[in-house]
Amino acid sequence: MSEKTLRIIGPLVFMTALIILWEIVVRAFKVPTFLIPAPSKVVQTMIASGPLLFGHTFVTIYEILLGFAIAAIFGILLAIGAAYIRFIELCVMPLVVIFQVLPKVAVAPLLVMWMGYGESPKIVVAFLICFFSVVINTLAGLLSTENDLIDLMHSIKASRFQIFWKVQFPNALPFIFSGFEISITSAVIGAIIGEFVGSESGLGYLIMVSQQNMNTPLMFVSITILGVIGLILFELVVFLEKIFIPWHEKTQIKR
Amino acid sequence: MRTLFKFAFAGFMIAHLIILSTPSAALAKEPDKLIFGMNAVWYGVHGYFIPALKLGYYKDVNLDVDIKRGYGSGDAIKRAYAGQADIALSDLNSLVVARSQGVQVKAMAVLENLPPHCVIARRDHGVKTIKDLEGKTFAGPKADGNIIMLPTLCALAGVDFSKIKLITVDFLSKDPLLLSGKVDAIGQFQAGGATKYKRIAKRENIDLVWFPYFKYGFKAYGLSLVASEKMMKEKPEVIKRFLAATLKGVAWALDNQEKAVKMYTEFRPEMSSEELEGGFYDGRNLIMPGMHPNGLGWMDRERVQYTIDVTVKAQELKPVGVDEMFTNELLPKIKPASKE
Repeated sequence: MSEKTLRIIGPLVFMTALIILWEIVVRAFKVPTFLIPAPSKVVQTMIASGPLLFGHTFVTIYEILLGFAIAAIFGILLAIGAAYIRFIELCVMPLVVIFQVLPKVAVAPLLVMWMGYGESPKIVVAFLICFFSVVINTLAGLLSTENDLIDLMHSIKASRFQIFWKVQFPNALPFIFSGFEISITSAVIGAIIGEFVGSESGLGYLIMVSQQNMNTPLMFVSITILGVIGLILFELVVFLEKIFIPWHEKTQIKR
Repeated sequence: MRTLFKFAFAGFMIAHLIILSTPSAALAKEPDKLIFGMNAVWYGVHGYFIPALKLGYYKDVNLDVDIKRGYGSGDAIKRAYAGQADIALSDLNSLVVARSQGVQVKAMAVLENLPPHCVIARRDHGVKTIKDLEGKTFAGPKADGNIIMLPTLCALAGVDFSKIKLITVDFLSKDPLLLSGKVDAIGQFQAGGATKYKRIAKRENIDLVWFPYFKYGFKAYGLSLVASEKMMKEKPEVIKRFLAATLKGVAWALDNQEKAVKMYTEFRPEMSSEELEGGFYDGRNLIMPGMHPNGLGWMDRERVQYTIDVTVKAQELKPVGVDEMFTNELLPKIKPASKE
């Protein structure tokens, strides 16, 4: 079996086996649905709630993508600033670290109070959660350029911008995409936290509602959809990485 | 040609002057926009506010009301104070806490004339009477109003509070803990989350017993409509119109229960209709009994004082004046036609 086939079939077989085991255990031990629903019940609920889920899923995806996009743009710009302007590195970067360690679950209600009931608080929470990894990874990439390459550019009288655009930024791209891979999944978490606190739509809101009603199958459905969204977005970033930096070969350990 | 133009221009200006000086539908005053914030994610008793929206009572008084979910009574009060919500729904105990911290928000209409606080316990764990809570485990978050008022309930019911084993858990964890038998009792608000217990207890054959606080003489008010003092000072007429329309809707809902509950379940299709219905009907048993002689929303000064006293004592707060807490001045006199 080829590596490519194994990559697709392997996880599918493994997850199917897990799901079957889960169904057997729940039925054998007569576990109440409100504690752990059987996979068959989760699927039933997913089918019955189809139209409801569609609208809420769309809202969450919108918040994730917008929060991520804003984090990506501002994160890269701030990292470039920190790499070239000492003031930003010394004064702004510590604030970035502080924001990263703030518990977003505590910050989210404050954001809703300051910004109101609209989408903004959710997008801001998603942004806050995924901003840090973009900044740190981009900065690491910019600062990791080999000195020999920079010396070479100096020797041919390249301008600062040319050194940045021709050497440092391309060197940073693999790091930037690594940051994106972490950030896109963090943005999912951020959007959900925002929805817990101040939304009437989205998968996070559905999770809250299903917890309140002890409708655990609906909660599992919402969590499953979130997992799938996270996986698809992650793979999308990996795909875009292959398009934008096809020259970057990830090292593979030979067995 | 020039003369023709002059006449045409003059005619154009005169026509506009006539239009502007004549009252017309196109020039009617824009409705006043209000945000009405609930105290939590939608549950049963919130359904009493939907008829005013759906039957056009707000429109009739030139209001454009947007009803939003909440994140706790404390959060609702903060939003009212910060202006994120013009009117909010909050329990009166939380308002006492807020006022003791100087937050200038006031209650202007009570919804739940009886307190919704309730203990739900496992009869199969030996809790047959409220006295049997002694020696048993009781789970909930520290900020849960049922737990905050538990010492007061125990004093009223002759239960030794020091013998109850309190376990601090997250708000949403207490339900599965009770139903899976890991704890003996929890607190829950009737007309809120209580219905799901009946449903799950029936399905899973779990024997539960209920101890509503009001049965033991606890007479604090429950959920109430609040607004900032700033809002009350600047827009009293808007608030009066809002209260008149809202309470007219509540009265309609009390007189047309089945239609109102159908309206509510259609309004919130993502919620379990069984939960909403159960909580909605439970809500009637909190709204109707103990209603002021003047009708819906009116508050009795003595009972507001009682609410302040029990809350200040339970949470060791700075004293709060009764006149700071509430006003009946903006209320109409509306009563439902149906009896308790």
